[in-house]
Amino acid sequence: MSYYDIDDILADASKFPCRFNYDIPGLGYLEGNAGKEIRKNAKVELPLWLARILAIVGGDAGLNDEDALPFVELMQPEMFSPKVLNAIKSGPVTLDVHSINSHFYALAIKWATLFNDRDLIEVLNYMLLERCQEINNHASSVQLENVGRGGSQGTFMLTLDEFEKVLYKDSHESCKDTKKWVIRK
Amino acid sequence: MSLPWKLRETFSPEEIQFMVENEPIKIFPRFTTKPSVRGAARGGSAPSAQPRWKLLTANDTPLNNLVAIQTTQVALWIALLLKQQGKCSIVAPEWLRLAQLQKHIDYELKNTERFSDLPWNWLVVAQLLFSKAADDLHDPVHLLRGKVQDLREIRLGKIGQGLKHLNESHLQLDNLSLLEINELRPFVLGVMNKLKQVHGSVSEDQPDE
Amino acid sequence: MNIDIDDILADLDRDTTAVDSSLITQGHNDTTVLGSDGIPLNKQRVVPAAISPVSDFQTLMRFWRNERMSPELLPYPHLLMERTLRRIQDQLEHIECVSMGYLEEQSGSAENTSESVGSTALLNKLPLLCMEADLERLKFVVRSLLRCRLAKIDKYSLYLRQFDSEHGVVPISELLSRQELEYHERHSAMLLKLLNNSILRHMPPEAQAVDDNDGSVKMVDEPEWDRFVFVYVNGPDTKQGVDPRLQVNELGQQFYPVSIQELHEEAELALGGIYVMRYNVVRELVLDDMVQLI
Repeated sequence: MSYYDIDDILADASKFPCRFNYDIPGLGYLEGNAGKEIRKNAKVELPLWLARILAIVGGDAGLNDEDALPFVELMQPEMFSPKVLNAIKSGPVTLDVHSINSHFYALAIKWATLFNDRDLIEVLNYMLLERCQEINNHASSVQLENVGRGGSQGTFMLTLDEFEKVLYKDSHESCKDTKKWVIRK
Repeated sequence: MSLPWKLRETFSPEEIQFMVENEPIKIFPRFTTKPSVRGAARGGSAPSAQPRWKLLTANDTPLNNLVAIQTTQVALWIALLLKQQGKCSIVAPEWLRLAQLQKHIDYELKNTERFSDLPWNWLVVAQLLFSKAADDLHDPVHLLRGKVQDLREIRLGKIGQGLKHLNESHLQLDNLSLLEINELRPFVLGVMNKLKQVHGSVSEDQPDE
Repeated sequence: MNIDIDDILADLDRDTTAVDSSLITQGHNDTTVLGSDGIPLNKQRVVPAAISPVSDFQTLMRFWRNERMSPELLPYPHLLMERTLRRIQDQLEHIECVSMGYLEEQSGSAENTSESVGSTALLNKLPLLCMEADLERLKFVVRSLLRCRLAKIDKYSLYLRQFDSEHGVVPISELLSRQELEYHERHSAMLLKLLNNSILRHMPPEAQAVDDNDGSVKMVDEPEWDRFVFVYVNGPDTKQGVDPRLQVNELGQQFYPVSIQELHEEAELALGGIYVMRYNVVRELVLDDMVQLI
């Protein structure tokens, strides 16, 4: 992962639901109440880059009776809910990943890193392998451009997340060049 | 940019062709370069002291010792150049026959998990000879083309089937040719690099949360 | 670092007054100095078989392929490139001589009215055609190799600036050619100056760093050491004998045992096999020429 990787930066800007563990003065602007305090247990959607830090950095145990809880608790977002994971398991190829989140893989990896979530990794592994075969089918078919949009082919292409799009583009380019070479010879 | 984006981390098919063109192939030359008494006598000042052919990327000894209609081995690009000038015929490799190709096709169909042992440059050599030395082939070129195309498609299909074996650790892919590898490269590496990231995100040492 | 025995042999063999300083100096000097370096043909015959132009070309091809496919910048093959560039220069002159001779020959045989003139002329021209194509092929590989290295030098500009203090196999002066080093130093200095003048100096001092590697993501791009690559296991050169790292498995196959540390896995790289592996797993073997990237 590179510091200047724009997809990584965009992925990190995705908002995740968080619950505050403390009353914090002055942070009300995060939920649209500028100048007010934010209340304990308030639910706020925060970009992952911010949520990650607040979920790791703890409050001062000395200040409170509570154990040193982090400032916020990251809650499971919709996209990693059992409902979505089950949908992936039952039909990874028909799933519209793009509409769930256009950086689905990147975020899933980040989430799994935060929570050491092996189940999510299993699902992701399965999903990637199943979908990549379909991507390869599309990438290696020259007809794609001639057939044009429409039909089931076009629909699948609309469901790709950013990583899958790049994978498709690179593979397609490579297949196309090879095919061109073979035909020209 | 010093190197086009497209060529980063992969080769173009033309570059693969370039590599294959350095491989040896047998030819029947139609002329003689081997110094002979007659040759030296005729020219008087004939440059026999120095070899006429002096190459940097390929062995030039056979070229300085050509005897018409005696087979010799030269780099493929030289064979193609001489062929183009009508100065040699190329001895097509044994595997480039209808019967041999059919055997490979049968093998590919029977063994779903492995690839037949075609040479690593088979597809490139076949295509080059089809277009530049069609009259030197053992069988009619349009039939050979058909077989090679079949073989290519069967193998691509098998590769497609094998994609479910991609993993985050490693893969053995014996008997795939260079052009086939290059065609697959962005896909295979893209998926495997991602799987590596996916699996690298959890650590064994940490308990689940 | 690994010193190629062929390179040492070549170095010993070479006319000591030749290239060494001349090739590496400024471009405009090259032609004159190299021109005076006409080694007679028969002298090249003395050169041990191990460093014929053809074997050098094969080494160059392998190096080119490795460089193109490896995530890192490989150590510059100083002696190999020196020999190659010198040969290109020599060959250019040789071709020029031959083509002049060819012209003379043609005018000389002009009175010859036999039918075979066309064919003879072609035969006389063939070696020239071939030598020109041959030279172009060699020049292509050299150019492509240098372009690839330049692209990496640009990409790892900041990384290379920190290189000395890091864990390089060779010092940066050996990793890069002299021209590459000069290019790198000037290019990266200009880049930093540009960044500084256009943006960084308008920022608070604590936000000016471009090489802060302490954060969660390193700012300086490093080669992706664990990127997957395709490899072909060629094993030791028959002339060099056996590699003690080779083992034999139950099938009687020779293989290199490698370990994929991140996964705590062991794997076998059988001689003659084609694999997809993480680069860091095979890096040593690639640098030792036992495995090549394809």
